[in-house]
Amino acid sequence: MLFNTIDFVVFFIILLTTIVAIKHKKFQHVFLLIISYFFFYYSSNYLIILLIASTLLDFYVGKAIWDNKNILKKKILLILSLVGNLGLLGFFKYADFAILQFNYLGEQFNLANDIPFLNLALPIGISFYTFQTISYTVDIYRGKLKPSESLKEFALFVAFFPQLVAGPIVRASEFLPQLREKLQNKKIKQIIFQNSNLKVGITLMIIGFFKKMFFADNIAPLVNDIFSNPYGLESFTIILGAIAFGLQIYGDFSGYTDIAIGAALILGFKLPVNFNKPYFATSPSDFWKRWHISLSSWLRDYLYIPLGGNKKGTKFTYANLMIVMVLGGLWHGASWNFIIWGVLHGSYLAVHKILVNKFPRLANNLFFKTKSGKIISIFVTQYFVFLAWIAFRVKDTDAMMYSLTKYIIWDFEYVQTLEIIITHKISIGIMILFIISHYIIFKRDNLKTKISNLPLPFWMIFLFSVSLSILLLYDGNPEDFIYFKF
Amino acid sequence: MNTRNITLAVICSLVFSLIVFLIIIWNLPDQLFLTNEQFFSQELEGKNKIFILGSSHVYALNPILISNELQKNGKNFTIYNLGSPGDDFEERERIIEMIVGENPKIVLYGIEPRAFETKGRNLVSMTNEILPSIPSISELFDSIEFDKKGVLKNPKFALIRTISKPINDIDKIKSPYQNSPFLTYDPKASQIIDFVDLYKIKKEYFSTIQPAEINSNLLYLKRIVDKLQENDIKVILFITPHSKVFLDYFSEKERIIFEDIIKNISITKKIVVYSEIDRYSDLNVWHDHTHLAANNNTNFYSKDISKMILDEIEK
Repeated sequence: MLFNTIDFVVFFIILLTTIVAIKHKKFQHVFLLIISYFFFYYSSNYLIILLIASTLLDFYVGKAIWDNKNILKKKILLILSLVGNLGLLGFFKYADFAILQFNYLGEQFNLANDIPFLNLALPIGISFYTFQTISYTVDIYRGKLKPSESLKEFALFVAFFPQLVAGPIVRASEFLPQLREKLQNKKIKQIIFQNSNLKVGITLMIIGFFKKMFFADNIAPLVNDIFSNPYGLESFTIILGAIAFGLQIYGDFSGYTDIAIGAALILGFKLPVNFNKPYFATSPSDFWKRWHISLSSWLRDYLYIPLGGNKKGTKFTYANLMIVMVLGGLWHGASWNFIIWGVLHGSYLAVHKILVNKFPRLANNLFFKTKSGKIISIFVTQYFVFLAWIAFRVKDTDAMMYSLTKYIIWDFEYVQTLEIIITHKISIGIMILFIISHYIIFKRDNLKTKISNLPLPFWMIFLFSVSLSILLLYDGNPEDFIYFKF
Repeated sequence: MNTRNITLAVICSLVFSLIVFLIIIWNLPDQLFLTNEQFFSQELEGKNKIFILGSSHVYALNPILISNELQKNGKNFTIYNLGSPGDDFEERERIIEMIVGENPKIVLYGIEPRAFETKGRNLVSMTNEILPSIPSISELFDSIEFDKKGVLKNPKFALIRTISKPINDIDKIKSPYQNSPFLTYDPKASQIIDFVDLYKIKKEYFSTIQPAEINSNLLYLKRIVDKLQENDIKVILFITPHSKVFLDYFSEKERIIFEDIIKNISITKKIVVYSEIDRYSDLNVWHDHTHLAANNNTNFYSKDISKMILDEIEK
């Protein structure tokens, strides 16, 4: 079920009404679990079996790891969990990609090259929930987390509908205590609609819808027009396309996250923040502290650090950064363009680290602490971030190379660009509006909280204007949430 | 401030915005409907009419030429090319009653692989539903018919079109050929681009074409065919011609899906689907990957379509 559909609105209203109506509050968690499974089943049908399988596997393996004192057995159990989860992910997400590569290699070496594709349906959210369950067993293995005592509780952690299909990737250590706290305090009224949560939650949700349906969906036609056929386009057009796609994906994904966080908050659950003004990052490492935070911190804790992080010398640090970013890229999809996107970001991080290590005087130069220094850092960082977005968006390798070349080596032609701007006046206008609002959010911290603290009549005007804008510029052929595909 | 006040505030703001939205939308013209209504309200010439439907892929079909070809074989028909750029089966279904109301003898529908690209919300139906599926509320909305549905389904489109230009007056449209009311003459469309240049224009094709079982566009096309057949109108489907450049970029996977879609409609609706997809693919007559240049050099397209009609009449 997509958030930007009437189906979700009806689903959410029924959910809230039912929760209020349920007298025996202890049934609320069960109800929430059932409704989360319903949410998943609605769009994924039989693929819900994978979700349940992953839940059962990690619940029992987690318990066994905790109960077992033998280190070797613990390790074997952990491997079982990793193989199970990554096996599911690998099979459903990467099987056809692997077959394609085998066939290609077979063709090059005159071997078998006609392995048939499996054409498997990609289970929605599999990349997200497998990462959640992996973090659960790894944390238990590391002794950082006590396993969940109840299957219902654990199943709700895995399947909690707001974050089920596109994150944020929630850790068990963040979510489970939110269920337990309330039980321990014997306040079985787990789901209380607190006024503050309700207002902030609704504000977040409406802002999320606005980012997705007003901004992202209306910028999408410009992006599609440029990148469906980038050959022959001018440098400025490619740059415009890269900026437009950067804004589209940010509006799309952070919009989804806002809706997810808002919906969870209304139900009394706090989900981790996933974005923090990423386009104001002053370095590649700063960007990854602001973009898809739940994924970057997951990759840091469960991949970068186990690989040795920066503890094994500089060469290993650079190699580890590259491995993490390439795998992070591949996590987004079974395609070479995502790998290239990962390679680009891995290179940025490594080069940035080299610069900081080799030229500490440059890195610590006071100029970069000044306003102009920060502005320059932001522009340089974002130049490379948007360059990488081209690799993310353009799947065809030749078209991608053409676009990347044009982005880097300018031809200073502008006739086509002007034509495209004139053709896509609305998208351009909306982009400008997005940039301005992004800047206002950057300058004014906690704008969302400030909006939700507005007196009721002003808050109503805000809700009215935003929802009317969404409705009037609703596109009959909206784009799916980009991250639903990962 | 209590929960009740907040809930009331939310409901009021949302309901109020919905009311304002509906007032605005109800006052916007449904352009597709109105232009078609304007055309079909005229007294159309000819007792035996044949309508050609499709997208810009039927732009190069000259109704008069087809009519003359039929006449040479003793068949007297008036041909109308009702193709319109970016034809969409769902939109076409909205005006099918008007087409049926004209009692054409035959309707030819030019279809192409791209017409089955399914954008937007199709991710939800990507899985093969082994377990029972839950009826979707969006689908329920789709099944309800009302006047302003076209506008309501894409408010942005209707709003922008209304602001940017008034309703097209069907009489003022300059068509490429006579009896082609919805096609606007484009001088560029007659230009032939050679294959060297066509290969330079590489495109991403078919990122979202979905298999027959879940392809919503196929569903709409089937409904159109049903409606026509129910009214004893003969339906001929033909796959429009494509250049070899397109066919080279047409992936094996997508080709299989498309062929399956064609097979599906042919079997379920018991109609022959003529494939013209590669008939002229090697000829140097292309304006782009998928459009024949519309000039005298491509009259063979109209002539071949007339042969197709004759074959069907003979049956």
